[in-house]
Amino acid sequence: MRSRTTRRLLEHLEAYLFLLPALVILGVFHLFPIVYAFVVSLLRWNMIDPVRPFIGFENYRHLLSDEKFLLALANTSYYAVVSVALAIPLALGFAILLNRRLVGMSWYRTAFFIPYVTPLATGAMVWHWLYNPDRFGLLNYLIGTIGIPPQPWLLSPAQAMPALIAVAIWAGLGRDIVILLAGLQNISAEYYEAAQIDGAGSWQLFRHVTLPLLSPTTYFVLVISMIGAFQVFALPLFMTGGGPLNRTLTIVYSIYQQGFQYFRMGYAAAQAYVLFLIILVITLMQRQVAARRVHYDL
Amino acid sequence: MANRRGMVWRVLAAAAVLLAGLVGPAASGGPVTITFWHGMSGVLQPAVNELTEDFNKLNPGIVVQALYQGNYGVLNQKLIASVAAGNPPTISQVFPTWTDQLIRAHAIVPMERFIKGPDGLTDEQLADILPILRQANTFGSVMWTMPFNKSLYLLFYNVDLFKELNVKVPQTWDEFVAAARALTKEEGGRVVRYGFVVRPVTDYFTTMMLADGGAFTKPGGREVAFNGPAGVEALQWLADLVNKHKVAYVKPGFADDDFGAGKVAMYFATNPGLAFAKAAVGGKFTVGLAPLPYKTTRSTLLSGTDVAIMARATPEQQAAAWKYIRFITGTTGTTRWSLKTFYMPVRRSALDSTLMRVYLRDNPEHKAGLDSLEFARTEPSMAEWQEIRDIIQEAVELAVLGKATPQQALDQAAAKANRLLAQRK
Repeated sequence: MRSRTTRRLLEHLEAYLFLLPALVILGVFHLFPIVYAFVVSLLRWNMIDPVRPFIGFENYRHLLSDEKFLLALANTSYYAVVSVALAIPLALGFAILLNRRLVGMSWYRTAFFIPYVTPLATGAMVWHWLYNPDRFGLLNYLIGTIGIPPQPWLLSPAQAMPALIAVAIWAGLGRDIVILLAGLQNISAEYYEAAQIDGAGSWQLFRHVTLPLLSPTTYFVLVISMIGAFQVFALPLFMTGGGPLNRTLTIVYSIYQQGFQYFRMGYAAAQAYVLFLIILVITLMQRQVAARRVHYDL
Repeated sequence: MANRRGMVWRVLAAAAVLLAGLVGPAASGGPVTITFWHGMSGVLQPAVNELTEDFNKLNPGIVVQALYQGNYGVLNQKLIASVAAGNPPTISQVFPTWTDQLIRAHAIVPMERFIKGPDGLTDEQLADILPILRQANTFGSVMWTMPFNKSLYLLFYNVDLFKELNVKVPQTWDEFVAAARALTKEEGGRVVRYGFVVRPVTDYFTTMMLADGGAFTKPGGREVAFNGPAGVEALQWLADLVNKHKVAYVKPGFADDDFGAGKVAMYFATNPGLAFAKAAVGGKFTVGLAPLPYKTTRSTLLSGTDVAIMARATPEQQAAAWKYIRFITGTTGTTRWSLKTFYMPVRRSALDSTLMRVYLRDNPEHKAGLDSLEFARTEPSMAEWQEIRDIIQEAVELAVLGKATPQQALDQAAAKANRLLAQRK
């Protein structure tokens, strides 16, 4: 007589077998690397040297005094705060405009979404041309026609990051608009009718009906935008190589540089763990705020 | 229930079939197949393929697969990852700094083993390889790699424009500034053509530092010396071309497109840049090559990669790899390679060959490149130098953009570089 548990296990065997491929993939490509990266972050290792001394938390200690990493941290925060703070109101404005009944509206919506489905590498290439410094670039030509002298753009330590942020907003706006538009269309017309009967004007409608009822969507966009912004990598890789003077060096770029250009795997893994902690803390903070500010109903 | 159990068996059977497929067929006899990973793109890739196809035809027992991996940065990443994964190619292009890292990881075998082996090179054949190249491939008195695509920094210039404006090819720094001024052209307050372009990259600075008698490191190689008087003067000179004389502009990327479009009259690049320059110019004018301008010391910097044989390969593969390397770096191989790609031939006999003489008779301006060979210098080859190059580049950017004086920028860079070198065991 088999025990109950064995029999139950056998009954579920089939289900486990079906789960197996997914579990193997998750385990091998997600869970194992997470654990292994932590182990690596405690080593000094160049990926191929058979000698890889265990150095405890030395890599983490080094991070705190590494000017280049701290600069990357500052750059990334600057990028995240400015790009998200500009992108969400902008996307909301466009979403409201696109939420009207107008001839050719689907054409406008598509136009806003195209940058998002354009591969970032392609978009970055085109922008790199537009930002050509000196007298030869298109953007410099355009501002020249209104009397502004040519700008160095990506060559200037001060202008490079704002230039990247502009491209990031251009590339990501379509996604935010589509999500916010869906949120707007989910708000029941009854709320607006009720408010109008009470004599609310269009600003009051926006302030007291649209904004609160859109807040779950806005919150969602905020969280994914922040997480995405802290992981920014492709734009500086394609457009500036982290320069000039490391002013567009971001955390993920720094991880890439340490890991795959200087082959300091331990140090790169430590930076990756710090990035993970930063994103975790920011997301938790956002949840705290959201608990008070997000309304699912009026 | 029986149906269910049948299902389980079917799933298990399917899994077994899958596993069997993964294990794969056992190795069989036949020709030795070896792989050669390289980063030769554009016009250079067909040249690699042509040499490889010829070798395969001449050696029926060996199949060499020359595989383009992406630019040098990507090649580096793939090579290190493949070594870590225990599945490297048989041969790879390597920069000297990579060689240093690979030797420490026991990932490559010394070329000397094959050079001195039964199928090796005679003393004359070895001595025929240019001394600076032999030296650049020697680590701790052992020749670990073989020079393959080596290049030198040269001055590229627009021959037609020089003739038109009656400008002579500059030899010294002062002549260079005068030439750049003559070549710079303004129209209605706007510069439409610059004499020179400063790429804020390490090699623009280090070549000029060498041309002023400077050195990369202090004797012994434990501390850097690029922040000495020669380095400071060289960086000041480059910054002045842009900011004081206003005869040059700053561009981080390659200059050949601007050169082809007539936006700039002179720039520095290495020999294979000629193929790219010619492509960009498209026959609109003649591309000239000359030695780099100098202050006190005629010099140039050796660049380009070598080839290494990986330790993981089987003895048969390694023997086949050596045969291939002997072929592509032999007199005929390196001459053909050089004529196709404008890389330096690695052997003196190639410089003296009929093919090369005929070519130089038809293209006399290219003699300058070969003449630079006698005063070429090499960069330090320790693995750390790869990061130090980036540190130097930062200093060059700081100075050229006017964010720091050359002295401040280079001193900062030297302090960082010395910290890295101090960690080296």
